[in-house]
Amino acid sequence: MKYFCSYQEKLVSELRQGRPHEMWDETLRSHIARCRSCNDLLLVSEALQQDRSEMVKSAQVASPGTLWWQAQVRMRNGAMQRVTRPIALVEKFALASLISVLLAGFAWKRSELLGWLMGVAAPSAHPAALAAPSLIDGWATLLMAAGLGTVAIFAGLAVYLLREKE
Amino acid sequence: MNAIILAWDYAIPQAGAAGTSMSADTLMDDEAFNSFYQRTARPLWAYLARVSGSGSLADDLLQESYLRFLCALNRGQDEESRRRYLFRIASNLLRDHWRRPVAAALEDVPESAAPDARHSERIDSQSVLGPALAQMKPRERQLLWLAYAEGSTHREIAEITGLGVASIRLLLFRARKKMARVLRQRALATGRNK
Repeated sequence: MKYFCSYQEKLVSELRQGRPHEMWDETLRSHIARCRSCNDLLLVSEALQQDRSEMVKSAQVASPGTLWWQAQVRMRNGAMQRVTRPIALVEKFALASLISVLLAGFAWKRSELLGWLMGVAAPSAHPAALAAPSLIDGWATLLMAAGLGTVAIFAGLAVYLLREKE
Repeated sequence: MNAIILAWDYAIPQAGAAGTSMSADTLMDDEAFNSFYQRTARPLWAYLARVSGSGSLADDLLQESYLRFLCALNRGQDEESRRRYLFRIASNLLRDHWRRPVAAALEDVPESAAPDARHSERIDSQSVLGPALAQMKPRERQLLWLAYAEGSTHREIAEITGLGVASIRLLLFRARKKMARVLRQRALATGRNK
């Protein structure tokens, strides 16, 4: 299938220059009269160019000042989001760490904790459970884990901020 | 309140820029944007209106195109590259619009997908070309408009639409043939009516 005619480049160039048909090369004009493909190109190009000039003349567009202002607001919001993103991330990470530490502590000292809770609920039935010295050790461990978690959070934050700076 | 704004300005250089001209580090001041807008807004609106078939949609997409253009403007672009970049943003927005209601490619959107009859009428009344273009697929309208109304080369159209140059050549050839046939038929029908 033949998609292009050898005259089309010349025709496109004439169309871009916008000269009247009478000023075109005679061979080109006689070719267009015979060649269906060039005829299509001329017909479509002129129709679209005329339509474009009518559309451009009648177009009613918004004021550039309003758009400029809206873009500034959008950029400002984007910049604020970029600044607050690490804070939100650290908050989520800290919450997740806290929940993990609490769950781990509960799983580790579950029997002591349940015994202590039962002692609180019914002190006469479990008098020894209230003293629960091992539970105090458990709280100490929990505190230590929480401390380690805090250090991990700050280390993570420091690494993140350093990478952002790079 | 001022203290808060100053604090944000310190943290974010562009945070206090709203309502004023951009800082020295930014790429286009409001005056340069104004003149760029005056040169490009109407042709871009015409492109959006003709391809989408809706004046109100063209209004919305025009605004969003400029907002995205300003927020994502790159350094070292000349006027022509900026213009192409703007048309590319607009074309992507059009594609997203067509994709939103049904997950279809631009090629599969039917010819009748002109959502706003009121605005289509407003456009069509200005020219005899409207009804002829309404019979083309959006992708065909897009290629025809860029090639023959905007006078873009195949390479420039490829940059704007994201299609390959070889595909554009073939699609354009078919679209032109179809459009010429429709225009001739309409001319014949108009002649008969007279």
